[in-house]
Amino acid sequence: MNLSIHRPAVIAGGIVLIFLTAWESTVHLLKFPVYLLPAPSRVFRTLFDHPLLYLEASAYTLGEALAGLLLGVLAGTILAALLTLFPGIEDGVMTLAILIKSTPLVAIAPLLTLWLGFGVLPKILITALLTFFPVLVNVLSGFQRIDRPLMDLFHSYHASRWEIFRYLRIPLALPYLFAALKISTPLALIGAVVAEWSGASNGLGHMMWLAYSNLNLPFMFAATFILAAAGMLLYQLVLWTEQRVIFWQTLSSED
Amino acid sequence: MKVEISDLSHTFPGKPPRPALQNLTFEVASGQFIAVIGPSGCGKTTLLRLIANLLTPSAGKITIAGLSPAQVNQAQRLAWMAQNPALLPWLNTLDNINLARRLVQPNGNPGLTAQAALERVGLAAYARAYPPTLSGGMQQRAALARILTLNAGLWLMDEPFAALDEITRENLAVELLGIWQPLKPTVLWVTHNIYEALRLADRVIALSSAPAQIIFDESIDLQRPRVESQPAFQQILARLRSALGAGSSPHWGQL
Repeated sequence: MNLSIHRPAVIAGGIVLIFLTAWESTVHLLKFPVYLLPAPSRVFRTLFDHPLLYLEASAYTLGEALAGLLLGVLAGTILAALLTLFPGIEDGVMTLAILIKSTPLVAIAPLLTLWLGFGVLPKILITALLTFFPVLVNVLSGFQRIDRPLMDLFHSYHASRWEIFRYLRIPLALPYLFAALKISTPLALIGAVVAEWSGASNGLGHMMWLAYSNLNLPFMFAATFILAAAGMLLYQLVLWTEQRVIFWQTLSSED
Repeated sequence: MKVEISDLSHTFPGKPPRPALQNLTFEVASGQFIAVIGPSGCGKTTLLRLIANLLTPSAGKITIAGLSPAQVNQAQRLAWMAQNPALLPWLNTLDNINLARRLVQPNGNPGLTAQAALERVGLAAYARAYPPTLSGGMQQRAALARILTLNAGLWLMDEPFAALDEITRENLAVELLGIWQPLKPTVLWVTHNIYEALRLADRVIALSSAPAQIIFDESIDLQRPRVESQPAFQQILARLRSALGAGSSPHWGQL
């Protein structure tokens, strides 16, 4: 394998390894009690002792996070498209969007749980609410970006508003969509977990909450490790997709 | 298409308002190749944008084959080409041209096919190449091929080769004449290059610095290809130089 391509991964892995080693030795040297700070080795052992338990909880939480993300991205993109095609409504809708955005999640989450129960629906909705705003703001500025030479060309064709939107604004907004996804993807995991804290029957957030109530810190950290790893993998997936979708940004002429 | 400009003025709003054109009146016969020359910022691009219906004049009238610029634009009978080739980076050369053909459907009389147009400008081998991988000269060739497929009666060209190196620029200018001669669309060619204007055009109009007024207007009745060393060429050049020297700023001498 080519080392230069994987260099960032090697460096990141190295730093994580150093961090875990420092953590491990500090715990052993200072003899931290396990209910305050378990050693990483202990956390991993907990993880591998209950693989099915964690697998199920992870599937549950990741499912909520991805469904919520999808909903948030769709809602944000569609709303941004509507605001671009019908600019008259922008001010009103944006005020409303900021109002929703500024309402604290911790206030909405218990309410939604109260209304919709302990199932996945309130989690998906909360995640969607959390991820929707970065998508709306970014994609909207992508749609509204003016590329003067291309606009002139399309106007010289007497292209309709819809044709300009379809052939010009959508591709021009794609880099902005991916910028938004880089913010919203990690947020989706946070959304799902926080939503589970306010009442759930399964999931990593639910496990963390139970473990915390029982001061079972290895159990709690194990869930945290999974979340961190999942967040990193999802982020890499976004980067990988971005490079393939917006392929023209890395093309260049030879002279 | 015959172009009639009468008493055309344009002032950009602002504080203070910026007058760009003042009481311009001239006519362009159908099938003529006209070069409009003038110092930077003199309003020659504004003139072209007004004819292209990319701007609405503050006063005066533009008539193109008896129609208003808006009507000609709506009928998709004008072609626009500027310094920026305005190729969509996410479409290959062929698809860029095909998109233009999809957006512009001239009344039952299509121009060249995309493939034929690419062959005409010597880019057939690059049909599948993406614009960012092409050199500046090749990108302008592609933009020229795109115009060829539109079958427009009026070509509005705003310094299309200004960003290219001198050799590419001269070669492209010669090829452009070869493409223009059999089709004979009306061409308005904006440039700040005196030699280019005199080599290419049937007639040269020079504008003063803003607000632009006509300070030189002469037909160039010389056989093409024109040689700069010709006495007749030198005489016209001298007259154009002195007109521009009298009508504008001191930096003009370096041209």
